[in-house]
Amino acid sequence: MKASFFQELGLFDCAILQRVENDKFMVLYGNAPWFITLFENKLKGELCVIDDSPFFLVDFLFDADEFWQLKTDGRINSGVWSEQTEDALLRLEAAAIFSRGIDYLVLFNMENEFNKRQGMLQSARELLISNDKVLEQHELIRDRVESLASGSEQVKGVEFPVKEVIDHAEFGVAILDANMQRLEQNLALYNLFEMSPNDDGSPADLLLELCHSQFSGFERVLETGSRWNGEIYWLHPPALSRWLQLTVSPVKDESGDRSGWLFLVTDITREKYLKQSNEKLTYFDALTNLPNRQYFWQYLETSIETNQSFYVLLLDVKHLKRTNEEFGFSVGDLVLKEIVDRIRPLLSSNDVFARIGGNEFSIIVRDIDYTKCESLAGQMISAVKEPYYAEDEFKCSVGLSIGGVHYPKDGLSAEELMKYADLASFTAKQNVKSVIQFYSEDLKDSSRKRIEMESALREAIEKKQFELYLQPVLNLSSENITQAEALIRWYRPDLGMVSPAEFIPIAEQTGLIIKIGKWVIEESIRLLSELHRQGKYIKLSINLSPSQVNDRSLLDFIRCTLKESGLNAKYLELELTEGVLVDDFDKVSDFLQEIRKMGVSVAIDDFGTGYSSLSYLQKLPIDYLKIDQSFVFNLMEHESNQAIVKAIIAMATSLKLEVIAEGVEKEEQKAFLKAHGCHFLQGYLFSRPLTYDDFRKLL
Amino acid sequence: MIQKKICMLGASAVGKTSLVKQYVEGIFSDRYLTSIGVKIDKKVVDVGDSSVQLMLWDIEGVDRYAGFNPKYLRGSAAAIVVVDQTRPQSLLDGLEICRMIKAEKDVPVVMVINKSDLPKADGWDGVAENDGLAMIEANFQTSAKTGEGVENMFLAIAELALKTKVG
Repeated sequence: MKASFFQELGLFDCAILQRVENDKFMVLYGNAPWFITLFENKLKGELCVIDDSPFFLVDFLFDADEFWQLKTDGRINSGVWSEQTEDALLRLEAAAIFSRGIDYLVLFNMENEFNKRQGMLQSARELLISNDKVLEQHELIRDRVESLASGSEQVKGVEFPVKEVIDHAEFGVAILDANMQRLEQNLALYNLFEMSPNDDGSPADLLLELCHSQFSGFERVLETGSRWNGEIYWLHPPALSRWLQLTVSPVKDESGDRSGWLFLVTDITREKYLKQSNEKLTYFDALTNLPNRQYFWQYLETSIETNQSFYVLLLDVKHLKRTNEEFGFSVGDLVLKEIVDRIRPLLSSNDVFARIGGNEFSIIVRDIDYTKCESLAGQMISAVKEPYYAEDEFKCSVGLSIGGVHYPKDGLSAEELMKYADLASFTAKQNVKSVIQFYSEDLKDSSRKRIEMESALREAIEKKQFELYLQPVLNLSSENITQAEALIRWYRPDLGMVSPAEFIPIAEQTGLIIKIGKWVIEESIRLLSELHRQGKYIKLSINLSPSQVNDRSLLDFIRCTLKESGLNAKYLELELTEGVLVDDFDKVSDFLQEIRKMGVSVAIDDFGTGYSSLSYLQKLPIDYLKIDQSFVFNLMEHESNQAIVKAIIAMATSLKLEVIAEGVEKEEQKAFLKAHGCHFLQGYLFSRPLTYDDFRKLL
Repeated sequence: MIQKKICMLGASAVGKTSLVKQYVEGIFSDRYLTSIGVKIDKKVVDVGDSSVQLMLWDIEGVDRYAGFNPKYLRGSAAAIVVVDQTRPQSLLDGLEICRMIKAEKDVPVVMVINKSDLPKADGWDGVAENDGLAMIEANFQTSAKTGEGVENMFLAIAELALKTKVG
């Protein structure tokens, strides 16, 4: 066997054996000392039997035998193993090769590759474990502080158990109130910034300064009460600098209102150093092998320098947290990898695809116009929406919210582009469905307005600027008003009446709906009690939003408020939209069962516009269906609407549910609905929503 | 002499190599050195009247850099899944590895909760309330550092392996 042949096979520090039969091999090439030691001085041309040792190699021969039997040119490798001889620890790998009709067994000395790989993985694994520990600790302390803090209405002062946890934390903790005034900062935080409690400065203030200057989305996090996890850099001239892992988390009180902020900080300078010792780890995400945030930012800046137009798309994976919680992080990781595999084929080789956060990806898309970019986003959404099957056992689904921004139209710097992409992505996230939202001036304006509205809403809650209007519901068999729907109205002293369509979505997004919803319940029960005292036994229905159904404290709140008022629960009704039913059937089912136990009735609002199936309606304790006004509005003009209304009434009758038609404005509509068995009507034909006093007079 | 192949698996840095080193050579090093590939160590142990040679396959930690290789399980009489009680994530990873072993081969699996000389992580008990623990034949507390529980654990493995026909 010539050396050129070995070179052809890419073999150098190796030994080559040819299989003669079963476990008998002839040495073709093997001069290296390690081989001579391992095979007891076997020389070229001699036979050796591999049936007992090296044990790893004997085991590999099972695979090799199967491979050789295929009689197909190629090779399989054993993987690296360590073999202890009398005087050395060898790092070896075997390959079974079939070439030109001959079975070869080749042994490689992997000493150099082993050391290289060990050096790289040593850093990588130390880093992995450190990061896991930091995040684990942050998560743990956040859970503790959140659960302790949510017991009090405001984080006015830090209560003893919370303080104890914070004082003993190994990493920096700062708690700020809703106005970003510091309430607590622990010694570890002072130490991180080389400060002492006796110094003039405050580490929490310094931390805020760093956040504002280094994190473009920080304002948005504060405005929207979101959570954020990332890294910041602190430079303390002349020689001190630190990389800090930061978790910013809103603290909410029992009613879900934001009452403060929790900042958790850990020194990760050492991990950063480890990262920098390996470029691959510094610029690439280990899970997906995509470029990471640092690489993406650098690339974005370089792209701007070329002055050619492009789009930046910010992709936020919806429901990943839910997947992680339900199936475990390993399944979540599989889903992320699969997302990458599904999106990558849709991109061109000029595009840059990066993973910039736990559930965030970013793409720079070149040579594309608005329409094509929108279509590309649509394709990505469709691809990601398809279900995921992990280990043939778990089926899960995620969605995608995409924010899009154009260079140079929307921004000229990397900071600007990412800030606006972040805003667009945040807006897209508010949509239940997976959508793309491009940045625009309007978006900026509406974001500003939304922030103003949120602040005004908070004031409205404090200053009691809400009022309940009652819209009568007519019982068609008795032609009497037997119930009413409570509708919230907001009178802003500076602007006048604000439409619920304007403020309810913002209350939903900010969590203020919980507080407002509780006020509605309280006020409805108060008005009902007053009416009943006057002998007017009316039933009142209240609209519930999805967030309220998810609020664990709501059931107790309704129970207690009813009990305090002494009102019979049968006079209270809760209205839910179809969307709430579909969202999480089990949760809604449990919720409604509890409501039913209390004696409160349930209506499905805006029926016909959502996706609730017959099976849902059968299984849930529901009393009324409210036909959406969109079907009633053109009832006489469109036969299709008449067909839908008749079908809903027939279906409700078969399920023994009563039907309320909303938006009735004309006598013909009333006649049609009555003729087809509708039980109740609501609409301007009888009365618009009235103030309590007017309603009382009407009765 | 009867030979039994035992596979040692687990996430990175849980102490698989240290357990083998403590058991076979009676030494321990505080310095973490990541394992690459496989290393096989042997030790003879007496179980009742029989002597068993344990072939301990110390396999590189399963993580995002090295996947689970089911081929290594071939011919094994038992598998030891090592977890680190200072890292709850290692238990989750360990349970996942147990599931993969069970899916591949009907072999007894024991879980070894290592580093018992160190305080248990705060979140450990929450993670340990896991249905997945039902698939494990036995579990042991060990400290590769002090040697506590190590000898007993391997003896129990030898007994378990003797009951297994293969390996």
